[in-house]
Amino acid sequence: LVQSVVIVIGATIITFVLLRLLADPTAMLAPQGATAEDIRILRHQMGLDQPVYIQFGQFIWNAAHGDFGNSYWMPKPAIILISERISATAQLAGCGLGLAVLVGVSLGIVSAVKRYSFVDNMATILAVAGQAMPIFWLGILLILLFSVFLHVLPGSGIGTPAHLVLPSITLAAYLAPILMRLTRTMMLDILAQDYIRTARAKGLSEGTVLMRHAFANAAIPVVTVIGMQLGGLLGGAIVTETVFAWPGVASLTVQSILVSDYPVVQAGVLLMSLAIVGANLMADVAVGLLDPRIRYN
Amino acid sequence: MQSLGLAVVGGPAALSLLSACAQPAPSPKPSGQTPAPAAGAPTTAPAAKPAGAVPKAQDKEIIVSLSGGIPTMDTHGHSMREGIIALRIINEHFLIRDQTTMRPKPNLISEWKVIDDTNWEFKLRSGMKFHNGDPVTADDAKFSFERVLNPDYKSPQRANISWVKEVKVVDPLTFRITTDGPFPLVLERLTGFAMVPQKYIKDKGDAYFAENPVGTGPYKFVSWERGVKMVAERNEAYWGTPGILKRITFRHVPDTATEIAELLAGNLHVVRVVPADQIKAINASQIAEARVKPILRVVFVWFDAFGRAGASPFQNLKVRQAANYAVDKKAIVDKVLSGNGKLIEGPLNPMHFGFDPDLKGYPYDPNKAKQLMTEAGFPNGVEVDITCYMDMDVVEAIQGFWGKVGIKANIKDVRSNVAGTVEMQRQGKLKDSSIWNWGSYSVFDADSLFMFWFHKDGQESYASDPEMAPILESARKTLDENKRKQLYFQAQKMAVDKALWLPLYARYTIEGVNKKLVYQPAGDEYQYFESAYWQE
Repeated sequence: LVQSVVIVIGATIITFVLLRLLADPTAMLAPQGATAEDIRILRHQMGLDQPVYIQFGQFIWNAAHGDFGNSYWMPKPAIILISERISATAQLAGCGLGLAVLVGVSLGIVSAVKRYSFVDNMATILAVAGQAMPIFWLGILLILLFSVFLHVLPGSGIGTPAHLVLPSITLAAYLAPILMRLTRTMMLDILAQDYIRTARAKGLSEGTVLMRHAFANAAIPVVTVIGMQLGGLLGGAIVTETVFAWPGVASLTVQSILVSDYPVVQAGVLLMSLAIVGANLMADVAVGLLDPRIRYN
Repeated sequence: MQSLGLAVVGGPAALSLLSACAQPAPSPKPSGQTPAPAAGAPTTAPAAKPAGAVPKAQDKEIIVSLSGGIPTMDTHGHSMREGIIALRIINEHFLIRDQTTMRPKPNLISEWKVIDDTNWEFKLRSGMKFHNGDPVTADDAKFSFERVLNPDYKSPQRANISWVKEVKVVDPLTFRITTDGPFPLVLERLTGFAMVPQKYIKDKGDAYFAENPVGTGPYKFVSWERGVKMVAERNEAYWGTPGILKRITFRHVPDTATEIAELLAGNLHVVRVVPADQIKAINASQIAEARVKPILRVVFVWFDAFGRAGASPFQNLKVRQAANYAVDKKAIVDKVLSGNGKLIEGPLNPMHFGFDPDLKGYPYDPNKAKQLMTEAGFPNGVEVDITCYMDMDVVEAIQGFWGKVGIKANIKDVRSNVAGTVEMQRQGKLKDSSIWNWGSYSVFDADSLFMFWFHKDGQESYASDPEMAPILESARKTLDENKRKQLYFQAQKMAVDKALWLPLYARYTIEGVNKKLVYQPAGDEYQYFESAYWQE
């Protein structure tokens, strides 16, 4: 837990320093044609003419009180702008993750059981293709196929459950191959173990052997990897949200980086680091539930 | 705001490839063999011709994409181009631009007169009402200016009207502006400045107005979901010719490739910015087409002629001239832009007031360029930086042309840090040269380009030539149009003679539009949807 707190604070500090090294937002905020004096006034209004350590002190003090300041571009508190987009990202990440687990794990099990079969080979090809294909490319291909040519799904935006289909598939395409390969390897390993042979010898049904004896053990590393990959999933969400015009936290954070909207970036990074740390903690707990040997006291 | 670099770069390529495969498009020819249209001639399909008479009203809607999104519904609360475009139909500007002459013409202000060098009197049209029913008065005009000038309100548009010293109400429909010196751009600036309702804002507060705007425009605000869409509906009680379409929805679609895909799927009807390399794919579709219009924006390379960022080969006039002679600008416009650009000889666009039509720049002459490099004392060539945040394909072409005459250019690609680069440029930390484009903030006057790029008080003053400064200052201090023109002719000649820039071309705006929509892009980079309608 202490480690988690350190990670969140570390991410916040690094973001703060990097942002200020990168760019001065007044360069973009001032209208074209603004004079040096206009810019000086603007910088003073925003408190950016203060030394960085003073800005940092103020930031920490305010952030500790839940105040990240107002966005430079939208006259709203950054934390509100971020929080009103949480549900969109949660929906997308939830559906993407659910789909990835469903497809990845089931294909992994089938591939392991039917090793070197047609299904196994196809799953392997799909996994390689899914991992090799950049997310934005896959996203555009899906829009072209299902929206432009077949007219069966909306290509972008938010509103109905149908809007969620293409972004979820795109996001799942990143994680599913990893889960599939891992499940397959673990299952193959476990299926060759003596206790599986024993279970079969006892006359248990193949389904029980696979799910209760083999998969229950294979699931432990799979759950750990899901927890570890959540950062990657949020990275994928940045591109997915941008391609599908999905109004989530990840795309807002990136757009805010591009226009040097410090307060929104800070709030977004904090929220995402909390999500990642939280997911890792949950994965640890879940592993504990699955495997009594590593349960925490 | 730019969408994610990766998606922008890869997306349209993906789209182009697929469109080419899936559509009955003519097979692409190698670019070298494609007969390019003449530079300056728009290459795209003509706009949909209205089949019959223009309908008075249609119970239909259009969906327009804005890649940058709208930060607030408060027209004075931001300075982003797309927000200004979308909100103009709700909060109109004091003046509007005549799309034929490109000069300001009456809008909310019906007439004006210049009282003396620093006093202007304006009369508002009578009988106008805000969407909430409040009458429009000179008090609202005064309030609008004072609101933006008030430092506590922190409007990023303050610099646009910082020349306003005082606004006085003369009678309920007349107000007078006193400027802080003779200011020839008063009318130009008023084409970009919006009227807001005093009583409504004072009653409800700025924060409420920023989510529930009320204006005088042809469309009324209906709803806004931040980062998703804004919806506006026809104002039936509009003072002028009402809009034809019932409803206009502006959607935020940050990725260019997605915008184009949605245009081809029929889910978007207008895409504001389409890359030139997508024109063919869009025109090959059954549903949409690219429509182009020359705009004020010019593309150029500046040289560090005065060694602002340290010693540079470009401090040598002959090297700058060589860099001008070396580049075949026509080939760039024909091949890279598919003809969608107009060559310029000097820094100005032909649409700028003060443009000299007789000005001659540097023709393409690589031999002359090589000779100049030798005369400059660099027979073995020089190595320079060229910083670039957009127009990558153009800068690569320049790199090739320069390389042939001994100017080895290292491209500094700064697309991932545009804001930082703008700041470095202001501070004079970019070395040697950089490619930029400039829309003059839709102010169709030479002042808006020269004072910014060629004067020390401008933000990007690499080309600030002390000899040119008094000319530019005199042109800003007089309202005499003939005198101003002559001064700008001098300034243009000086910029060319001293080869302070490599002027390239004036841009065309390329919008993707549904084929059945009767609508034309505008030369001032606004979008006038009030006159758009669907072909029956």
